[in-house]
Parts: sequence; structure tokens; C-alpha cells
Amino acid sequence: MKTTPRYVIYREWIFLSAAVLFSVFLIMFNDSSFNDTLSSYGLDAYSLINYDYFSFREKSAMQKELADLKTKIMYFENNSEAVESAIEENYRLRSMLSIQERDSFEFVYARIAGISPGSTRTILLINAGREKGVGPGDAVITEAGVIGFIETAGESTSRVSLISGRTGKIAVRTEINRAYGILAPLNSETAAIEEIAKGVNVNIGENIFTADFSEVYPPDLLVGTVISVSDSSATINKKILLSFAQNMDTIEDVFVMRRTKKE
Amino acid sequence: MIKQHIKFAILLSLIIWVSIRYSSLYSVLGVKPDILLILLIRRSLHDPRPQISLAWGFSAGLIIDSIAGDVIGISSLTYSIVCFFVSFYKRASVYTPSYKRTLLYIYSISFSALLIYTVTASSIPFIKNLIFIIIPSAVYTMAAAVIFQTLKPTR
Repeated sequence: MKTTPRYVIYREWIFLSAAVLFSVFLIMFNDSSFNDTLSSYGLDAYSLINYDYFSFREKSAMQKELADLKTKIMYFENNSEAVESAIEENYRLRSMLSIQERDSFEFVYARIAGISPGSTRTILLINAGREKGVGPGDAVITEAGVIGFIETAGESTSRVSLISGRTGKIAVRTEINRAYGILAPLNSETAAIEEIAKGVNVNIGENIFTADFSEVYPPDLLVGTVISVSDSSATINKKILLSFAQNMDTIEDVFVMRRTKKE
Repeated sequence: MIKQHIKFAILLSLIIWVSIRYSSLYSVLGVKPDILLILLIRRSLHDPRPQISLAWGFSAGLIIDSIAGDVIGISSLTYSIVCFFVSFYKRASVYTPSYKRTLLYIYSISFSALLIYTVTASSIPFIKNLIFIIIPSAVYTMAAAVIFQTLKPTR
């Protein structure tokens, strides 16, 4: 058997050390601008090869969707007058009380272009990017509720970090008592809410919304519904479990909330 | 030689695209096999040059991380180490019997799942992560490796 020269073995170990060190550097500085740039290039390259080859839809499914949309339009047109007068009243009261005006948003429609290949479904790729004005930090929602925010934006593809993932620790509030807590995701369907005191009344079935003071998420977006409440913990806080409003495994299309300007 | 590298690069791109775009099709209860890792191990088993295998593992990991990875650098770290040691072992042994090859797959896949999911699913308690994510993913990847091995055995 041929023996490998010692200098070749040394060289190989040096290469391995370099690869390990570089990877560790990338992991340690995961939020750095270098990683964002790298990710942006990766997304641009992916958008070149990604094409929706198998997205043919049946005529009956499209007809059903069209009928549903027409019904929704009718419903919203019927209620638009009442909503408009409520908004006007809200503006008037806000200006009387000198309350800070809310940000206004534009909605950018996008379809799913990919998902994280691992077993933790924490990243989604969507087919909207800088060319549609989408940028890092924009909130992403579906018809059911909030799902995450734009982590990196490529030219025509963006990466969404889901609230069910590592970055899902966000400020939330309860519906009735407006008690503030912190969302701690457990898996793609459920999360715990921390830091809500035992004295606060929270009911099963109550909706949970994003809090008013988040820098990423606009206030009052539906996050999920309470499925269990318990006072049995040894701390001063309740143990609250919620089910996400949107099942993260069945997302097909999303809306990016692009911040435009103050109203 | 260059032709083989080009062929492998095309295959790698295809696998990366499939695993990002269509991985939900072969996901079972949210658990997915790491088909990219299987491809890299199979390649490393053919190539007794750890340096080349390392380069392929590192590049593939970095590409998948930069497109859809939760933590950039974790796949490149894992795949680099796995590919390097599989090739290193391949060079040291003249003949690899099937039981040793199976053990090699088991070690590599378990190591990869443990390292990747410990970091990417760090918000979940470790025991829960181990039971619900790491072990099922490793088992599914091994099952996929057995299927690939049956369809196209490595020498």
C-alpha cells in the first residue's frame, strides 16, 4: 500500500482547520453584515435556478378560490362604510388626545419559493425582493396572522425568519386585559407566553396580538390563540400555551408589510 | 477529472434546489432527511483525497446555508468535518466491508444531526430537541441512505 507523504497529511489538516475556523467565525458573527451580504448573493443565485415548474392548478380549485374572493369583496364592500367612519373617528380622537400616529403600510403579495431543508421549519423563501421594495425587518403575514419578518432580501427572493423559530421571542399582548408578555416558540404549532403575572386573567380561546412597542412587528397583528392556562408554576407568572394562528407547515402565499410613511 | 467535478457540481446544484424547493414533499411529520449529506458521504467514500472532499463539503454547506440556512456556517462546518474524515478513513483502508460502511454512515449522520440541530433548534430544550428532532432526522436520513445504497450501491 502506498504511504501518504507526511507533508500532504499536514497540508490536509491545515485545510480542515481553516475550514472549521472560517465556519465558526460565520456562526459567531451570524448577524454581521458580511453574512447578510453572503446570504443576499445566495438568494440571488437561487432565484436564477428556481422556477415554479410544478405549480399548475386545477380549474376547479381556481374557480373555488375566485368564488371565495368575490364573497370576501362583497362582505368588505358592505362593511366599508362602517369601517371608514370608525377610522375617521379614531383619527379625530387620536389628534384630540395627541397620540402618536401609526405607521402606514403597503402589502406586497408573494408566493413561497422554498423552505429550510432541515427538520426545523424556521426559514421560508418568498418570491419578492428588493425589486418590489421588500427589505430586511419588514413584517410578513398571511390571512390568518403574523408569521415572521424579512431577514435578508435578495433582488427577487427574500428570506423570512418565522416566529416559530430561533428569532421568535417577541413582545405580545393579551386581548382582554392587554397584559404584555414574551412569546417563546416551542415548535411549528405552539409557543409559550412568559412574564404574565398570575394575577392577570387570561382565558382559553383568547387571542394574542403583537405588542405596541415592537420595532419589527406592527401592533395588533394576530399571533395565535390561547390553548392552555395554568397557575401551577413555582414562579409568580402564569404558564400559558398558545397555538399559532397560522400553521407554519401549510403556508402557500404571504403578504409583506412594507412600511411606507407616517400617516 | 474536471468532467467528473462538473458532473458532481451539477448534481449538487440539483439536490440543493430539490431540498429547498420540494423538501416538504418527502417530509414525514415535519422530519426531513438530509439528502445533501448522503450525496456528500457517497462521494467521499469514492474519493481517498480528504482535501478535495473537504472542499466539496464546505462549498455545499456554505451554499445551502447562504440560501436557506438558519445559522450561516453550521452546515459548512458539519459537512467539512464529515467529508474530511470519511475520505481520510477511505484512504487508510484498502477494502471497506459493508458493516464498516454502515457504521461510517451512522457516525457521520448522527454527528451531523447532533451538531446542526443543537445550534439551529437552540430555542428548544435539549432533551426535547434530541427526542423530537435530532434522533428522528438521523433515523430518516439513514433510511434514505439505505434506499440510495440499494438503488445504486457504492463499491
